[in-house]
Amino acid sequence: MNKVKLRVEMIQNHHHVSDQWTNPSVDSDTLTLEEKEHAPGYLVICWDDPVNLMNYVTHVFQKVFGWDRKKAEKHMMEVHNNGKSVLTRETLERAEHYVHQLQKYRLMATLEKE
Amino acid sequence: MELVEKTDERIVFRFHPNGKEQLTSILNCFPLPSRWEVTLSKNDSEGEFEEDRKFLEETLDTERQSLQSSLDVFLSSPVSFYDEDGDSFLRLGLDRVEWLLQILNDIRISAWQLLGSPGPEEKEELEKLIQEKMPEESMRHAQLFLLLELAGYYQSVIIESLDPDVTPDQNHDEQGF
Repeated sequence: MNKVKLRVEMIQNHHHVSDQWTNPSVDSDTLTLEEKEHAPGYLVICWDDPVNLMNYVTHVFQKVFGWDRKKAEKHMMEVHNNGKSVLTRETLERAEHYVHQLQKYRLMATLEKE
Repeated sequence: MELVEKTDERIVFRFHPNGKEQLTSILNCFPLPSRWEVTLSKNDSEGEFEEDRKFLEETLDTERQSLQSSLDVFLSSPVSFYDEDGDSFLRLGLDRVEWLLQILNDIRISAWQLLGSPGPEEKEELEKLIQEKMPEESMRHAQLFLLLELAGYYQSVIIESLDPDVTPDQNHDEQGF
């Protein structure tokens, strides 16, 4: 099993990050590759497109992130009005997990380094 | 299609006349032969995420194939589609809702891609063309356009039915894109 597959399995099996992963008080320049994967420095962004329905996008945000309707609609409107919305800031593993989930619903989502 | 029953386990819709045939025809189009470009990151000039991107593409492709396998079972199930007192019904277990929404949206996005990914203005031109005397070569476009709109309609009816404020008696009309 290659490293990427192993990582995706880890993501699929661990949907909840441990506390140490969410600690932002780290210097990204001094991190090892493994530590970078666990450091929250990746933005999950959803981009506007002319085809996905607004109520569908809201529904997907609710499902993928567990948000209430109000928060999901706020981000959906950001996508609609501004062309994109930063949905969350995560570790690389978690960001990849969310991008996978959003693309499964065929939303235009990517991860970007901060 | 209208909501007639909603419980913690399932939702039931009554089809409008010919609705059952319409929905099954739409679902039978899955998967449309469109190219699915997977992008993991827009700023990956150094190819840092290329291996991950390829793996994501493979995973999504596998998941799409899995959707197709279960769709075949779904379409032939007398539990999902049934007739009663002259009406036709769709019964959806709540575990099937996300699955069906993904298939409908896949059809919608694929139809849009096959139409050349038109923007809102181009879509208006397309509508106009279809309303006028349609040239024969545009027939394919008209079919794809219809597929795109109808898939969106069924998506919207299902999504609205999930809203806790929606009762089975409410009417469902939703816009296109």
